[in-house]
Amino acid sequence: MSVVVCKDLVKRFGSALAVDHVNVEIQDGEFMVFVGPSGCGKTTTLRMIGGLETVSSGEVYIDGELVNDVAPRHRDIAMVFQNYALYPHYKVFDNIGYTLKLRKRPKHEIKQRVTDVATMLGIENLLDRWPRQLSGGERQRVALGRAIVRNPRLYLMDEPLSNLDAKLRVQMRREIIRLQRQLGTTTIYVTHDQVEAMTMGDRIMVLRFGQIQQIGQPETLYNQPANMFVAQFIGSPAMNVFPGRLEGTGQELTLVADIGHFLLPPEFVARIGRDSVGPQGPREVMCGIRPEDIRLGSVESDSGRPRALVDLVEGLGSDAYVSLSVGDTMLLARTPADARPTENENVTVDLNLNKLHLFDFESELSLLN
Amino acid sequence: MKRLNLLKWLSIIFFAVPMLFILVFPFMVMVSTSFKTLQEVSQIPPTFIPRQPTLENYREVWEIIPLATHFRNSFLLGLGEVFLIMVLGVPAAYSLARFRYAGRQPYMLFLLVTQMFPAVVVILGLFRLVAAYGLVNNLAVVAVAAASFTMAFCIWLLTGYFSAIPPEIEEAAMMDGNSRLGAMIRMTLPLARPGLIAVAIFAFMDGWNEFLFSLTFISNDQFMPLTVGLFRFISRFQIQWHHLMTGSLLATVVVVALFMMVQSNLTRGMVAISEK
Repeated sequence: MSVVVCKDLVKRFGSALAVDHVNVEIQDGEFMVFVGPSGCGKTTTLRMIGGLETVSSGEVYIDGELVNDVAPRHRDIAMVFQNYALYPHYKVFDNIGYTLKLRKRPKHEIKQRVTDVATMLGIENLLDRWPRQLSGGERQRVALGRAIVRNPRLYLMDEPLSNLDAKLRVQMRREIIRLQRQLGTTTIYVTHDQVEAMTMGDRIMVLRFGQIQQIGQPETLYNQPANMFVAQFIGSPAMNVFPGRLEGTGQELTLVADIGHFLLPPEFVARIGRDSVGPQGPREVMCGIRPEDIRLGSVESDSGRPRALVDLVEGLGSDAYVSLSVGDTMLLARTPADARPTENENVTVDLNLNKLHLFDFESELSLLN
Repeated sequence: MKRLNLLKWLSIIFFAVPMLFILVFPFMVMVSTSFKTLQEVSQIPPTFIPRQPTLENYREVWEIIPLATHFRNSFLLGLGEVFLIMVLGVPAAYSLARFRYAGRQPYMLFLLVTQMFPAVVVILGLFRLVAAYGLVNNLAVVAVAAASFTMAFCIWLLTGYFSAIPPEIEEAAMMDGNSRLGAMIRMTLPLARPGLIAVAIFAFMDGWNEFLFSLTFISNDQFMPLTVGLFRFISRFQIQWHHLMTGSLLATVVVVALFMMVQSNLTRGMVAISEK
């Protein structure tokens, strides 16, 4: 079992800075997810941990050992690649058993372990096939089998589900989670899909432009995003964000926005940082509210609330996503399917103010404690 | 549809057949001449089918010149070039395909530029160098000189081929326990086999057909390849066409036989290289 520590990790490709002072510690047995948009440095960070990229500066420790200059084959790490990277000129049996063969394990041991792993993954009937004869899901299982068979101290997975169709992706996601829990091996998983990150990770590290935005448990990132980028990246559909202004002082704060004026509850005000509003006057902020925290009402019954025009209703079976125009502001709300409005209908909008998010207008950092 | 068929047949009759005839005709003349006497060869008007066919040329050509020795030397030249290309060219191509380092792009341009210079431009300087070091009548020197002109093209071909093999396969092998060199040998080279065979055949045929360096650096019968050995049938006053054509035909047959043995690999390799 292992602990992975990255200290001030930097990677440059020429003048381009791909990884910018990443500091992270991954605990023994943890399923850690690196997530972010394309080009954010998550795969580069993973590859530096695996030894497939050199480190420009900084240090990588695995189980307390500095591994910057240690070759990949000596780090006792297994990796699952996005495009599976199966050896096309070896059959499935030899693909899985290759690492054991390199380690000069006896033939009977190789056969036993390969068979055990194949049975675990449900591919025991594929051992005599060539990779080109396999489907995408089967190839992914073989790639997993190749990683599992030698029982390494760390698994690295680089977007292993990206090339699968949606249904298979969900199925394989569950398989990977089950396997990791069964084996208990520390795993670092890279994805650009925040749904994968939220459902799979014990903790998530969000990256952008090579820099860490936030590290935390999925619920923490969802409920307490550190900045606007994390707030909008995590959660599907994305958080609604609109500009506003905080007016008032002390415990009496009013949010003034295009969609309306909202007196903020005292319990919410208590969470706002001390310097958010002060003698200098109203403060410009960015406001965030998740679609499920917007309640829609009928204009006949809720006369005091902001009014909105329904632009589009997208039904998803049990839920519906409702696109609204409130003045110049566009919002997306989520409602139960049986309460969905019709398009071009006027509705009222009720924001759950205790679930509101506030971000500094300039730095986009969260203003909430 | 009818019009397409007509066009097809017209292009076969007026283009393909004449082209085929033009390409095959010299070979047919070579075969025909190898069965003629010198008198019949010199005859006007020339005959295509020998009036008095003879197999004597096939016996005499082995006695007049040390043809077996020339065959051996040509084989050695061909194999020598293949060896040099494989040992030096393959690692060079791999590094160009896989690694990023200062000077890589200029070097690849340099490889292209060297293709613009024919060997004859440097032959005099090379000869003086070879003679100064006492390396005349040395097949290895000829192989090195010939390979140095073929190397650039082979590196270009192989770089393209290696680039098309996903680097993740090697990376997976390195994670599994291979060194970089081990991953190259166990993964990249087997997967690049069609391309390697195509390049090896190209290098062998270049060595087999090598003439300029052999003519310049070798004066001793025992070290002459076929190209120079057969050239000796062309003297100042006469050309021994019947022996020349017989020797050339024998030299061609060997290469054709070799080609047919590896044809499937060659076709696969060249197609793959062109696709990459």
